[in-house]
Amino acid sequence: MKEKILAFCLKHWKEIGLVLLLLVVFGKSQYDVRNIIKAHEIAEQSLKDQISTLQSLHTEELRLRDEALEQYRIEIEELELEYEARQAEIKDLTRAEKEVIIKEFKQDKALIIQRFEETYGLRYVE
Amino acid sequence: MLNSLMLLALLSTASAEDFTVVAEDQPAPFEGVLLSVPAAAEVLAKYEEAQLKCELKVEFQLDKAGTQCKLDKKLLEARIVTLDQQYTEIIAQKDLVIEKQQTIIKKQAPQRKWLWFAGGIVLGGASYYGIQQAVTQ
Repeated sequence: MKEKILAFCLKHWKEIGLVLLLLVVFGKSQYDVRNIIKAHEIAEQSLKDQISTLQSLHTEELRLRDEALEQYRIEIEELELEYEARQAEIKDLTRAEKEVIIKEFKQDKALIIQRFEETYGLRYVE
Repeated sequence: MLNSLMLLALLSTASAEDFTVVAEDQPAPFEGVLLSVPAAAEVLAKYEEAQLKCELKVEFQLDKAGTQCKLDKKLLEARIVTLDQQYTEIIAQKDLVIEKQQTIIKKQAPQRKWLWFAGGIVLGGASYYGIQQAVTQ
């Protein structure tokens, strides 16, 4: 049996050598491909992690943005309310001032003269 | 007649910025616009009102601009924080990838380079011998 195998090997040593060489090349290429796939998987996992982190960061940024916009809206609303209230206050003050001036005129005409002089810089003529 | 002459004299001497106060039925010393007391009060009060309104408007616009500025600052701060974290995260991930891929590359080549070199020589020699034998036979 052994002799038969040896004779076969000696007869077909070239084919056997070729098959062995092909097996080595195949094995090496498989090993390389596995490593390339592994490297690719690492890069893929890294990108997935990056996307996930970026998404969470983006969500956080949007939350902060919404919070800031809401705060801005509230502040502007408050300012506008205050502005309107103070405008009304000024109108009331003007009304009161008019009444004071009319009253002053009845009591002392010199006061209205003084007011005109001080307010508009006009010169009083007797 | 005398009154008219005096009025004319006053008219000619009255400057553009003169005013006077007249009682009812009293002749006006010069030509001009006569306001009732409430109208005069309105003119005086409106001047002050305009001043107050102007100050209020300036204050309101300043406050609005300040609030807008505060908003812009907050938005920029949020953007900076996000970009900073993004940068840190991307750098960390890249470092991790480089490290892992370096491990793969090192596993394949550097430590076993002499083995691969010797294997190559042996395989090359054997191939050469085989081919030579095949050709000579």
